[in-house]
Amino acid sequence: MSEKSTRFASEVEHVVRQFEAVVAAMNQLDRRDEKRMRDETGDVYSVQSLTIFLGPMRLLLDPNGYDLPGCDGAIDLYLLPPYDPVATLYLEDGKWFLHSPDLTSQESIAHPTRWERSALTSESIASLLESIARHAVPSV
Amino acid sequence: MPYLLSEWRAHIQEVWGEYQAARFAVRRLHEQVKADANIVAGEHGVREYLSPADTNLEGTYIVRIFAAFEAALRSYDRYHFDDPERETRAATMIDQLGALNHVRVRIPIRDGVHRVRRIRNFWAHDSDDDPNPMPIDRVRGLLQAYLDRFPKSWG
Repeated sequence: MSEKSTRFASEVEHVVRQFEAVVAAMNQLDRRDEKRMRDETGDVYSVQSLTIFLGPMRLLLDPNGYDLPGCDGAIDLYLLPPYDPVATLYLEDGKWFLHSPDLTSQESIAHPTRWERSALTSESIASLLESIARHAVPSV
Repeated sequence: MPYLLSEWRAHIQEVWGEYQAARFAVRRLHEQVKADANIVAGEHGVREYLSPADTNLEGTYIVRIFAAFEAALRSYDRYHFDDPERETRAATMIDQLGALNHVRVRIPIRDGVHRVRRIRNFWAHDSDDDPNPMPIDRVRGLLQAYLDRFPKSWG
């Protein structure tokens, strides 16, 4: 593992723990899985992904990578099974930010350019998950 | 090392993500060229082919996204029938694998995937049978929903 990929895996671990704590507080379930990725030298490294079970709904917290313009890392949150994007987390200057649509006022999920941005905290995660549980509908 | 379903599905998302980036880039360039065509002066072919590139972008990526899906099906088809050389038509794999007892893809999803396959054929094989268009987000959703029923790993 390269230094960058080690750092990214550690950042992802931190985010996954934050989500796990919120999911547990909501009395919902989750499951970790290992995701294999390639670092900038082509070597394989692993990060954690998290499948979240919100009642009948499933979400996937899916690390995207660190070799991205304009940020130091990204993690996507998808609604399963169609993999509809419902949020993206960006790592900027050592802090994670949550980009997500306002699900309460949309018949369908807005284009990501119109998503709102907030700091990643336990409160913002809980608010997002509650909003998804209440309003999100899989596209397929 | 076993094949992981999550990796096949991640690859479909990567192709879909590339489409989003390419769509944004082509649209922005189109607007900029409309405002000032000099920005592509000397770039052979760009001015001539920018509009068709814009029009055909989604179809082009549907071919790629279906190829990623078909690769996953082929891998499972060869594993399930224990034949590493097996070459099954995409239409047959969609029906056969989706109907397996431990898979059982819902019929509306399977039919939607067949529609995606016909759209792929139209773009990739210049088929005369013009299917109605389908947004790439819907394509991605149907292919992912189909694969959702498969085992987590095989091989």
